[in-house]
Amino acid sequence: MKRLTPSRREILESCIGSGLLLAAVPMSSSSLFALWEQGEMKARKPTSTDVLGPFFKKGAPNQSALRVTGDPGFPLRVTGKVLNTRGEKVPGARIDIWHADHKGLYDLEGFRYRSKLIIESAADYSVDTIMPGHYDDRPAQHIHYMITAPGHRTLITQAYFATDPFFEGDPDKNFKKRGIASSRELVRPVTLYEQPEAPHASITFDIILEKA
Amino acid sequence: MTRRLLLLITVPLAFAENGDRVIKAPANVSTIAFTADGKWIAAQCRDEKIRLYDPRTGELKKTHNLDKGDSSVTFPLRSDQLALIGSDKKINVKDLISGDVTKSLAPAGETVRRISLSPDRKLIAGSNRTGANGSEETVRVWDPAGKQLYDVPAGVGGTSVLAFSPDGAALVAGSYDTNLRAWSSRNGELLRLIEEIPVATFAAVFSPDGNTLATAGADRTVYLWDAKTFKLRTKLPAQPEMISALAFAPDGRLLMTGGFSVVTNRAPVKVMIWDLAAGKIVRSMDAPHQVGSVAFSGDGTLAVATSSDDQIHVWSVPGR
Repeated sequence: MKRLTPSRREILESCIGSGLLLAAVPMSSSSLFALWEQGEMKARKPTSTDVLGPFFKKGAPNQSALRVTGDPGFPLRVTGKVLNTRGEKVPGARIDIWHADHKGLYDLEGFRYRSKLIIESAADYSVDTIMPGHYDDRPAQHIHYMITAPGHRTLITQAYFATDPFFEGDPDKNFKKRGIASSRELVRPVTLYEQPEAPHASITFDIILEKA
Repeated sequence: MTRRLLLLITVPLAFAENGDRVIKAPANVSTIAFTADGKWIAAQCRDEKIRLYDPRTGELKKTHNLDKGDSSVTFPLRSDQLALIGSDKKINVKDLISGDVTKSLAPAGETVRRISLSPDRKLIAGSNRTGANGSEETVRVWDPAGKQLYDVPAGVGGTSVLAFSPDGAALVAGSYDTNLRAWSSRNGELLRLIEEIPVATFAAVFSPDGNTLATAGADRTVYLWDAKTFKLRTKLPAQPEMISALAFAPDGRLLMTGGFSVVTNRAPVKVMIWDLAAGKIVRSMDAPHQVGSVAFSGDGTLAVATSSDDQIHVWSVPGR
């Protein structure tokens, strides 16, 4: 039975065949197709990787509320989308997310400030947590990520905070300090929101996955 | 005043009597091992030197220079040789007594982070960061001529520990993704993927008879595995901190654990000696900072640990 919705490849081939997609210089239709594919694939750069670190713990529950009432630490909301390099949503991703508490300690007994988010078709995610604390070995506040999705390479990365005193107010200049953040793009700008009960900080961190 | 003076005099004597002492190295000591005769401590120091100490006197016996850029030193058990990734990115085998490089093997490449040399020195394993996104790990195995025999996938996020069994038949790697893998060293066949530990393993050692594999890490627990089936035999959950180092006594009856704190590497930690048959701790010692490496002397009478404040601690082993 023929599918009702044509595939991306079928649409492209149809456009080439009917002259809706033209080559600026003479080239075969197969080369034109390949060039288009290549351009699309590189439309968005995959998210930079960073180290996994020694404190990953498997088996975290799928929970978006990591902060509970009365938790010390500055409330933080993290939001983002899981996309491929074409900018398309990647449904079915699993995001392991974990970070230290406000004192810089990881919970290795339970799953405090740990979650394994199951991302549905909307491909976006959100967690309510606190700003991670600082600790000696990696003295920049950070959130760890490990993302898996069918048909895509596993991505291990971290999000940092542009407001962190570690970056001395100039993450463009200082993101390489002590070799901690692997890339400038991982140092995220922070937006402050005023809530009725208390202010909270927010970062967005989109995840761009490569095809396997 | 008299009492204080008396204390100053008697305390060092008491330490000398029971064999406990602290050797202050000129730099941080990352790895220690005993020389093949079991008499001297070989200490890899972060000032690019290997120093050999007499543990009974604390006397510095020899110093060998490493090259700037040498990394990932590994000491095969009861051997006077160590392997390291040289600044030339080759795997060099160095003689502990003479300090000479006796072999220069396969080029490890820029992506090899951790190496292990089989006790018979017939195989070299190296963990290797691969994949376009740099997260995927393989373990590569070379023969002494530098020919790569095989490579095997080893999880994501990096290799936390890599160890050959005493007979060289099995190779074990721990991944920061928390899984452990045991392969046949001969052909890289996966013998078992161990997925039941929820956190990372930082230390793995085989018993001298090759029957038991001990592993430990972030959950402060020692896991004892059957080293043929790689099925769990028992757990020893007693370390107050995460475990960074393990060593079996030469007779295999005792196991030493060294810890590190999640808070800071400058927090005091415990070093413990377990009697495995009794399942009891026979001695618990204090180290002022994170423990990087532990070892027993060849005759099993001394337990040695490094702490990250440049110290080598020497303790007597009860009943030896």
